[in-house]
Amino acid sequence: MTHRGAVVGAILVGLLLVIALLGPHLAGHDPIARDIDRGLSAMGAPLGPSVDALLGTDHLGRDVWARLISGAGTSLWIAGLATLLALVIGLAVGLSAGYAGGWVDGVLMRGVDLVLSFPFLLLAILLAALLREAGLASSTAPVILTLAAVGWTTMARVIRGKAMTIARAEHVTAARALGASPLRIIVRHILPNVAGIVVVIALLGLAQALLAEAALSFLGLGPPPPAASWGRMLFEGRAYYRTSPHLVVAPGIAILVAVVAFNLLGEGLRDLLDPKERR
Amino acid sequence: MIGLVVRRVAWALVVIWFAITLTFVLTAAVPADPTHALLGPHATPETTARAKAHYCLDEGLVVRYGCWLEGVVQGDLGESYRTRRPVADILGDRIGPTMQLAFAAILIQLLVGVPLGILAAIRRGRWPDRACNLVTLLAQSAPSFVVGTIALYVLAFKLGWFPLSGYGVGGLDRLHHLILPATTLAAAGIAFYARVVRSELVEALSEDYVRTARAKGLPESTVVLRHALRNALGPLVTLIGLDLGVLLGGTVIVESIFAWPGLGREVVQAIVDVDLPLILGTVLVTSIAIAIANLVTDLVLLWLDPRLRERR
Repeated sequence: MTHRGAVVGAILVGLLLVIALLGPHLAGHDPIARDIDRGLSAMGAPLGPSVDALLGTDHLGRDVWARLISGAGTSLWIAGLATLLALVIGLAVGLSAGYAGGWVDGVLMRGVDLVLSFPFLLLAILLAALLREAGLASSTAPVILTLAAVGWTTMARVIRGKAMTIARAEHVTAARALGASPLRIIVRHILPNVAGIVVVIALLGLAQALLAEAALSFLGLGPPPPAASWGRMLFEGRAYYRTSPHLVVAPGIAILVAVVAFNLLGEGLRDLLDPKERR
Repeated sequence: MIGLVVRRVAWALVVIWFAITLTFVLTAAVPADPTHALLGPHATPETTARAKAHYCLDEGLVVRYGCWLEGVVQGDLGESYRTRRPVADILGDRIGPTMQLAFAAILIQLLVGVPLGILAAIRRGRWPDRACNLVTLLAQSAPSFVVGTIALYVLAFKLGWFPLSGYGVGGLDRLHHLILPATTLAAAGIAFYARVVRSELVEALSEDYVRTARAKGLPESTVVLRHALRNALGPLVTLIGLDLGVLLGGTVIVESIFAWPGLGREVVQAIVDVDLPLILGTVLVTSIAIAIANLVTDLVLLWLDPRLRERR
């Protein structure tokens, strides 16, 4: 069962990566070209799915399929970079807290508690709004920084827990007895042992980042137009949901599939690494 | 025991202080001059100076921090740039609907998630468990704005079973308006509750005391509900406490889909208008609400589980 889940997840993730990388070649249309003449109905409304436009067009006559494909790249890029950034912070904090223990651990973990005591989405909204104010509105940097700033906490917690048990293991004591420096012990003896769990939390974190990116975009705080991200497509399509539900359904399903894929792969790997977890 | 309670209360105060300070630091870090937004382009130097003095903007950082702290403690969160209404008044009006939505969502999560989890645990490995697993995976991965918009399209717009948006007037009408947003908000939580109850119950069912209960000849329902399920209560209480934070964040999206007149919709409008005092006020009030919820959760856990009291 769990193996099957992991395999399905891996296949879907692979497919997503291929789509994201080959994006422009698969789209068939320009994702940001407006086509007022053929892309809109006589009344100026978005068109439904047809042979010419597989998933119809949006309110500016842009091809939804092309935008969906190019959105895969945007969304995965943002979520991936944010997860990577969060992971770096999470590793630094988690490993130092787990290795050092004592008051270092106390201070760092209380810090994590403090950040976690904020409502995730509200903190993200606040950060995104402030970063925009600071003049970064025309790039994807605010979104990425925001997602990283709220994403590292749970990672730090998990890594710290794991690092703590490994730091008490005999091979670490042996390394210390041989005179290895703390940095060497952390990098050479602890890091390889947490690598498995790090891959798992990175995958699960990526799923969360995809959801959060879409949520921010949905509120108008995502990557700036005309770039297509799935959340932005939802945001733009929202106003037309009664007459053109495909504008909401198409990116919605894309997000759902992507999140399911990363969750399946992450959870599958976790169960493989730690069979006790799922009874 | 009293020492533990005091420590938890002190921690809650630290969290609240942190929230107040962080919101201040974040605003101070933004280079934008709020008097522009406040007074518009035609402000005279005189009025600008008066506004700056009013908000302590012409002082150093430390004085401004003191000013902000004093204001917050007195319940003065500044004025909305857009409507000029005191932020505290706006939040006072909006917090009620949001709380209704959040509590309704928690109720739905408990009523649906817990039975699902029990079902999955007692039929472990068989089709109810697998179906439950699939449903919870989907529910956890489906963003609320997709669930909400599709529910709105199908159930409200096409079938007309529910109102399209709004708050409703009077008890039954309110309830009718509440169902769709609350269920949308609860979707991911249902999945989470079901998973937690399932794994706790599966663990408890393999314990010795459960075998003893069965050996005594107790009916299976008593074994599951009275003996095993009790052990899942602790984690469940923790979840409910943590959930309030997740839900208060989630209301931002759900409220703007269903035009529910709460904090979430207010903050979305505030983002569009770059109405910083209102954004800050919302974040502040929400984090205080969460700090209090976490405190209550900790105290309830202490009361429920005597083992926690003995530690340290």
